[in-house]
Parts: sequence; C-alpha cells; structure tokens
Amino acid sequence: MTTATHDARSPVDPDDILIRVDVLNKYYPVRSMKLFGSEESAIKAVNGVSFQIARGETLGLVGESGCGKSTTGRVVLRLEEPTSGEVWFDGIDLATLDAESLRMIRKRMQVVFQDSADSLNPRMSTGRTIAEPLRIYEMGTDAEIKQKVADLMELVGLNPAWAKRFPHEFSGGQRQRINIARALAIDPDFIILDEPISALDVSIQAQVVNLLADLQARLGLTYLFIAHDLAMVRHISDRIAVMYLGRIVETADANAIFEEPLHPYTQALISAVPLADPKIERTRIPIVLEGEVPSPGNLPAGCVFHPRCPQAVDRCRTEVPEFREFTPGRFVACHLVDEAGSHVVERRGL
Amino acid sequence: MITPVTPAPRTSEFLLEVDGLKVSFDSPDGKVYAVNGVSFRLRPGESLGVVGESGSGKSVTMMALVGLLPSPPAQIDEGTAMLRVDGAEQDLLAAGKTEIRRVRGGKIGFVFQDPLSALNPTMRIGEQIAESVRKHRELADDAAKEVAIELLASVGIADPARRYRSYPHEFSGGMRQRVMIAIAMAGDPPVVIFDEPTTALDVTVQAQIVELVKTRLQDERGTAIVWITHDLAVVAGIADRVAVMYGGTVVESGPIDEIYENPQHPYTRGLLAAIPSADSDGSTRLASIEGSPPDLLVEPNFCPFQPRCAYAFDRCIDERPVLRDVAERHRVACHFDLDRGVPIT
Repeated sequence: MTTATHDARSPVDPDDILIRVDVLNKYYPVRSMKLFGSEESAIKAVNGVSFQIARGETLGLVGESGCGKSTTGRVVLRLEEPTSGEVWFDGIDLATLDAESLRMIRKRMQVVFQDSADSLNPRMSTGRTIAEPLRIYEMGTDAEIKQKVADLMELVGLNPAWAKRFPHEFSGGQRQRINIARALAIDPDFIILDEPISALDVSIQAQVVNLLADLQARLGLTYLFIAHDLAMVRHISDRIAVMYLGRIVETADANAIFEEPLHPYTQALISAVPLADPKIERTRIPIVLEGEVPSPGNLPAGCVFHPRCPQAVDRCRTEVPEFREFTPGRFVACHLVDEAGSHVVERRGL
Repeated sequence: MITPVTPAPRTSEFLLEVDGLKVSFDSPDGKVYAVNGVSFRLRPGESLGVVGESGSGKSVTMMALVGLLPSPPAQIDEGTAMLRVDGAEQDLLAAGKTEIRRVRGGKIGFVFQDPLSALNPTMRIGEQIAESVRKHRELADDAAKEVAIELLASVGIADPARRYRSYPHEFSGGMRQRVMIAIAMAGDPPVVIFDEPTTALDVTVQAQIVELVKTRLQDERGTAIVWITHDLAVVAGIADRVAVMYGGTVVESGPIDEIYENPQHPYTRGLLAAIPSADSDGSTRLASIEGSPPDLLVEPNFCPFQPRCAYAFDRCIDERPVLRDVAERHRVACHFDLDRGVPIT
C-alpha cells in the first residue's frame, strides 16, 4: 500500500509536477473510556491519499461532508502535521525542511477558504488586509507595498479607491475577491481553494470562477479546488479526484469522471447531481445509496464503500482494493474494474 | 402599488392566491423593503419552484403567509393571500394568531433548511411527530403514536418503532430532514412549503430527499408544493412551474419548460447562463451577471435589476415594470422585449 505506483499521476513529465502527495495519512487519536481502563482508537480522516498536480493545472477534489477533502488540503499546506506520508512541493519533500525553509516555501502556497467574512479581520481595512502578507515577508517599502495593493485590487476587479474600506462594507463576492487578492500578494505558485464559492449567490459564483480562471491563465497558477458543487468543479478542473471516507476512490480527466465514472461511488455521486434542464431531470434516475456514511473512527473492513455499494461482492468485504492506474492518468480503487479499465458487474462471486 | 395580474377565473381553481404582498422591516439603518408586491398562484397538487438569491424576498414571502415573521420589526404593508381548502376561503394575511396557528401544519406544512433548529433537542423524535398528529387529527395518545411510527416508516427511517425514541442529535442531517417531512405530513395539509430543504445536505442525500418528496407527497397524496431555492438545477427536477424572484418581486413566472427554454427576463437568462451546463468543461467562460444584489434600503420605484441589466434604458429607472403576459401562464416584469430586441410599447 506504500509503493509509488499508487500515485494519481497526471500523464506529464515529472519535472512539470508541482505537487506530489504520497500515501498521506491523517489520524486523530480518540480515547474512549471503558469500564476497565480506556481504549485507544483513531479517526482516519485522511487514509492513504495520493495525487499529483502539474504546473498550471487544476485538480478538483470532491466528496461529501466528512470525506476528508478539507483535511487533505490542510495537511498539504502543513497547517496540520500528517500522521504519515509525504508531500513534495516543486521537488522538495516538505518533511525534510527546517522551520525557516518551510516558512519560505509556504510563501509559494496559499489558501482561500469558503467563508469570506470569517477569514477577514473586521477591524482591518482592505488595503491593510491585502498588504499583510507583504509586510510579514518584508517584501518592499511602504510606497511599493501601497502600489502593489492597488495593482492587486485592480487585478481581482476591486476599485483601488476602496482600500480604506472595511470588510462589512463589501458584499460576499467582493470579500472573496479581497481574500483572493491577499492570497496573490506574495506571488504564490499554488493556491488551495477550499469551497471558495459555496457561500456566494449563483450570479456571483460565476464572477469569481471566471476571475480564478483568468488569474490562472495570466499568472500560471496551480490550483487544488476543493468543493462539493460537482457541476462547477467540472467546469474549472482539468482532472478530478473523488474522495469517500478518507480515501481517493477515483481520479481521472474531468470529463471522464462525468461521462464514464468507473467507481460505483463516483457513479452514484454523478447520477445524483441535478442539472438545470427540466427535460433531462424528468428522465434522470439517480442511483440512490442506501444507509449513511460510516464513521471514520470505525471503518468497514475491505473496501470502505462496500456496505453501501450496490455491486459489492464477497471480496470487497475482506480485501482493500488497490488504487491502480488503468489508462494513463486514470486511477480507480475497485475490485470490479478489470484490466482494460472497464467496469465489470458480471464478475459477481469472484 | 399592487402588481396587477390577470383576474382569477372565478374562485376555487387556485388553492393559494397571493396578490400584491408587501413586507418591510424596521432597521437601525431605516426601512428595509424586503418584499415589494409579490403575486403568485398555486393550483391543488401543483408544485411551484420559487427561485432567487439571498435577499430576493423568497423566504420572507413564505414566512409572511404562515405568520412566522416577528412583528416588530416586520410589518405586512399590503396584499392578500387567499387560501381555499374544502370550499372554505380565508385571507392568511388578515387571519388572527389562533387562526394562523391552525393553518400551520393543518393546512400548510413547512420544512426549513435547518431541521436542527426547528426540532426540540430535548424531546424524542417520535413524540415531536405524535404531538403534531394529535394537534391536527384529534387522536388519542396511543393512536397518535401509531400514526407517528407509520409516518417515520413512510419517510424512510429504518426500524421506526425503535427510532421513535431517538433524539434529534442522534440523527444525521438527512434523517432529521426526513423527520421534518414526517411532521409536515402529520396534519395531512394540502400544501407544504419547503424552504431550501436540501441546501445543507450532500448531493446524494439531496437526491434521497427529493425522491421522498416526489413519491410520498406529490404522487401518493397529491400535495401541492412550494419549493424555495437558489438552485436552478434542483428545481428543474421537482417543479411544474417556476417563479423567479429578484429584489423582493417576482420578475418572471411560468411553466418550467418555458422558463428554462424561453426565459424572457434578462435576470432569468443571466442566471441560467451563469451555471455550468451539463457538458461544461471549462473551454467556455461562464456568463456572469456583473454588479451586486440591490440595496433593500431604497424604495424600489424602479426595476430592481436595472443597475445590472445590459438592456436597461430610461424607463427602467423611472418606472417599475409590472408582470405582463407573454404566453399561457407565463409572465414577465420587464420593459424590454428580449425576443424582438426593442422596448415594450
């Protein structure tokens, strides 16, 4: 389970890989009190996650609440220490770095969160907010910083004259632009976008998504786009990784995930996505999953999806499926996918 | 100002008929014009999707109908809301407190976005359903409990007799929303209003809830449904008709296929273009609606969408457009004829 063949590689030159995550684990220990003594167990929030992102690429990371997608983002940024596993950034293993080197490399990695209001200091003006990372990293004189802030505001579609205004004077969409401007201030290569548009109105979501696409094209940015809105993820991502209960179950080209999902969970997830077309909706039959997502503190044996999988066979209940590459860039963790990369339901009882 | 609509064909055809509803709030910054002349109609068994963004007035409209707005600061300034059940007609906006309490649950069920705040955390799930059953059906305790267990089973809660004794915190978000639906069904009302019922849920759970509403309420009971949402995709699968709200008014309403295939308001068109289509792979840009939602502190004597509208002209600032018929039961409030590309004369 720890060999390098498990990477969700994109079919590109290794030199073009900016982020490589290898068998990442994040467990939270829990001590439950028993009648005699206590028992140690773990919540396996992230469980053997591997993926790569090429320079200038957007990887969408999708899954339902509690699947570990946000925790994965936090561990990649080293906002939290991994339990085990490696995160490589631009050819450097982050675990080997001392505090100062990590601080310098973190400059190149930024994050934008969902709640635009909570991530801004209500008592700090927009200008100071955007300038903060520049001051922390001592990048430029006061005059240079002021000019850079004005340039950044222009870049994200805010009027530089608003630099003196405070967060409450802005709408949700404008606050998210402030967060994006702050993330861009120190010229990062890589940005984790953690549900950046979920709290915004539909008409504003498109504004922010277009802005993110423009900035990527202009600045050559690499994105990890974490979200649960699958239609928007497909729109913005080159490739998509699907998570369930701490594991990536499938990674593929964005269109392939939608048009030819191979993992039964991906199939159910995609089939549940409603489309803004009444004609399609009248005939769409979602694959309704029975039951609830099990607790990450008490994972099912074998394939973590088997208790809810409409196609599970005996082998799924005992043996953890390998996360294998079937066609270039296409990874699936399912016993029912054959060597040719097709889904085989007939192989019941194998 | 009351939005004129085509006169209702006699009575009784519509289960619910809202006309010219205006609601405002007092705030430290001044009067907030939340709902500015909303009119819509609902036939028995029909499902109406009310689509709008935050601040569009969609939730305030529905809360006003069932007397759930705190007053002060809210006040209903104008309008009527006729509810016709079993041959009896009543104006919900003129109803007294006791009367409206009997309407809630008995004639109009309500399912909110956040079931956790709507449920009593210290009371067993089953008892909360049974309480609602007793209130509306005049049954003895034992019989009410039996009905509550049946309702739990019908909303897809496994092992309902045991789950009757569970507390809300022991249920997942999806299960709690099933309980809310069971409570809404307890009084067997002819209409249930759903206010963003799946917004906080995951997409696979959302699919379960939508399926439940379609089979248990629409198909089996013929319940009329009002489904409030910001999500044009969800509503496409559940509504017969759609009302699009913006700035406290209905800017367009019509049969679902008409609205999605032939939208006649620039805002409706913009919204539909702003969401990725079924095969949107990022090679095309999303059409975005520039600008921000309207300032509700300003009395809207103009078209609320005018500052963001590519087609706006003088009249849109001078005069508030009223709903006009463009096709059978398809109405739009806009001074501009989008198809012909000219102002309405």
